[in-house]
Amino acid sequence: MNVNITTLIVKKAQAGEKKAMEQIITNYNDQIFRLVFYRINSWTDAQDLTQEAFIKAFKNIKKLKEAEKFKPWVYSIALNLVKDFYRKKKFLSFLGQANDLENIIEYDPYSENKSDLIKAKEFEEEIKNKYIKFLSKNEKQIFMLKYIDDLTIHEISQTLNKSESTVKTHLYRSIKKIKRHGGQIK
Amino acid sequence: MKNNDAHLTEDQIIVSVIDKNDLDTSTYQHLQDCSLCKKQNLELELRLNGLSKKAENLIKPPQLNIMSVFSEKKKCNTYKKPFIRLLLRPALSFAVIVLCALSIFYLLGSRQSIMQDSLTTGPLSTETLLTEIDSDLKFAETMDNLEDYALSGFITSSDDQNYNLDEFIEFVTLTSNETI
Repeated sequence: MNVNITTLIVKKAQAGEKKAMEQIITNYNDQIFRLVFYRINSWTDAQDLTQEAFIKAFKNIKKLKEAEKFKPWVYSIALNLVKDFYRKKKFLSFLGQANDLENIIEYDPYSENKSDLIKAKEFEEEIKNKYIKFLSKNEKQIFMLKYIDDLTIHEISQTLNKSESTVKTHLYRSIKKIKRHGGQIK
Repeated sequence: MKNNDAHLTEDQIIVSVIDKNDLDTSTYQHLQDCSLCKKQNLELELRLNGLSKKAENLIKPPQLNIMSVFSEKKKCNTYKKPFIRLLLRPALSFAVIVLCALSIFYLLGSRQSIMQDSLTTGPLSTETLLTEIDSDLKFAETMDNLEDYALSGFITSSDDQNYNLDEFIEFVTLTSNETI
């Protein structure tokens, strides 16, 4: 989508226009959902977190000074929610009340094609075992944003509040590590 | 890479995949010209970019109705005001009104009965007042006597049974050797 149009829509949403908000949801729903899903492996939780991310974004949209930075901003909100999700999960597992999400494939009850979800889970496992297994926390984060969520280096730097050269360095190290460990990239 | 004929190293291929502009001019030029390096670059690029395409194709995210959540939330906010909440719940508001009415009636009724009592008795004459005071004083006197000589028939006063003051003090206080 054109950057100027997106900025215009965001500005309209900042003014409280409902249609603009709906347009934003239509534009970013899929991307945010995927970002969350590939990080938490749970369909229902991904739905909840995506919804929460948009609600949080719209509640604070007036605070966003540069409308053109909406995409990295909403991505950072989603990433923070994922972090919180894992924090909660860690706390619950400490109390012995959490399900082991790693081993559970949650199905969307309304999904027509469950095999797609199984494939997605398999793909997530593949990513985990062949790519991000060898990477540090930061490298993992940047690699996922670049090659799973399809963000540009500029967008990643804005989302994570890091310089572009840092992002590039992390990417370089990630690819090198994956190659060294005999990952999928040869 | 100064020599244009030398192929790109593995590191340079990685750099070219991340951002071609980071390559120096000669390396960049070599990449443009050399089919082998170009192939390596493309292969790596395709493998990496293929991940996002695969991730995208595997999942069809559900369309969330987030705007409805917003309108619901707004409705919830109005419920927060207690007065409006009462108005919106007729049964509860009716009960509150009935309770208020009953308490007002009860308060008014009790006040009226006090007023009626004072009206029926009326003021007392001085003679009756004086006799009442006299009887009160006598009653107070007998009470004082009872306090002073209570159970006098059961108590015998003999000096033998009295403790000396020193003994008593010794009994109730600790000596220097004793500790608690």
